[in-house]
Amino acid sequence: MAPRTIIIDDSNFIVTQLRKHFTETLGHQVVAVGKDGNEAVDLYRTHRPDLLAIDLSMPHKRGVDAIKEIIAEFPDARIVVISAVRSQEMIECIQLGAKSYIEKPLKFDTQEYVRDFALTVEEALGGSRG
Amino acid sequence: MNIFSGVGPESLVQGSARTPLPNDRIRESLVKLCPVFCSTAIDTIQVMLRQKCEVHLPWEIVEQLQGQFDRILTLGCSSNNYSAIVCIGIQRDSVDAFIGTENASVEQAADVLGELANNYCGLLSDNDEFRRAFGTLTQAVPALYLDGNSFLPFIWGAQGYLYFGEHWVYFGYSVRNNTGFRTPQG
Repeated sequence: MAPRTIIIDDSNFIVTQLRKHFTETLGHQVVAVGKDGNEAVDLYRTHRPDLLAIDLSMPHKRGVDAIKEIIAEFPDARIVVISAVRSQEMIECIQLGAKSYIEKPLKFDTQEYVRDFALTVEEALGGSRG
Repeated sequence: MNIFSGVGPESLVQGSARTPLPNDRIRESLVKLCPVFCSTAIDTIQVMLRQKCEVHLPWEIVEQLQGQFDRILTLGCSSNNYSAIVCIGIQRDSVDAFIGTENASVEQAADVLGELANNYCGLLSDNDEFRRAFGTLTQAVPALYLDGNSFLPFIWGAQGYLYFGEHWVYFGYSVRNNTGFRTPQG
């Protein structure tokens, strides 16, 4: 069964690429898309996805704050951060319970990046899939 | 597994807690880093938009970044020690050629330029020289200004133009230390 995935990123430019990659390359079902941390929390509650792919630098509520709320409510949440942020914030996300971190820029025309992306997502999903 | 750029998260955040450079030394750092600002801009555009850009004139160090473009994207970045502004400027008739669209709306331009600025900051943070000088700065949310209506403060910065076909795009990165914003300890 295809993993049910939510994508949270304030950039349509990025969402388009991620949606295509998650569905066409990784075989996921993208059940919802949001553009800030508030939508991430709401959409997570509504859909209870297998995976949440979330950016950090977003308006209204940053990704790290959304992750904090989601993990507090759903400790088993499977979250992958996909962001260009390199600061302490990315370590904080892992400490909060995000499973892994993927750096932007997205390089889906690079084989090594595509392979590592797939492995990272698969590992993040590992514990929740039978 | 995490996809990091080979330096790892711990080393990325190192340096941020050092004593900040005084502002006159920042200018010296900018001079040394000027090729890094330029090559990173080229790389960011190549990776994100698959545009191969050329440099026709050397990038320069200036007291204030330029702000007179049809579309001006600014992105603030900061750490405990430094505050920086990334500025990307482009003329209206170059936007479609740059981002690969037809009749791009202002929102589309803001979207792509904002992501470009975010990724530019990320790739700068991956550079050892940059990180040794300024550590890792956290990015805020980008803002797009229209028709030259931006306000850019007098802060030393590196700037230059990148050419693609008959068009160009402007990149600027200015940075100052936060010392002036701190209240003296009594």
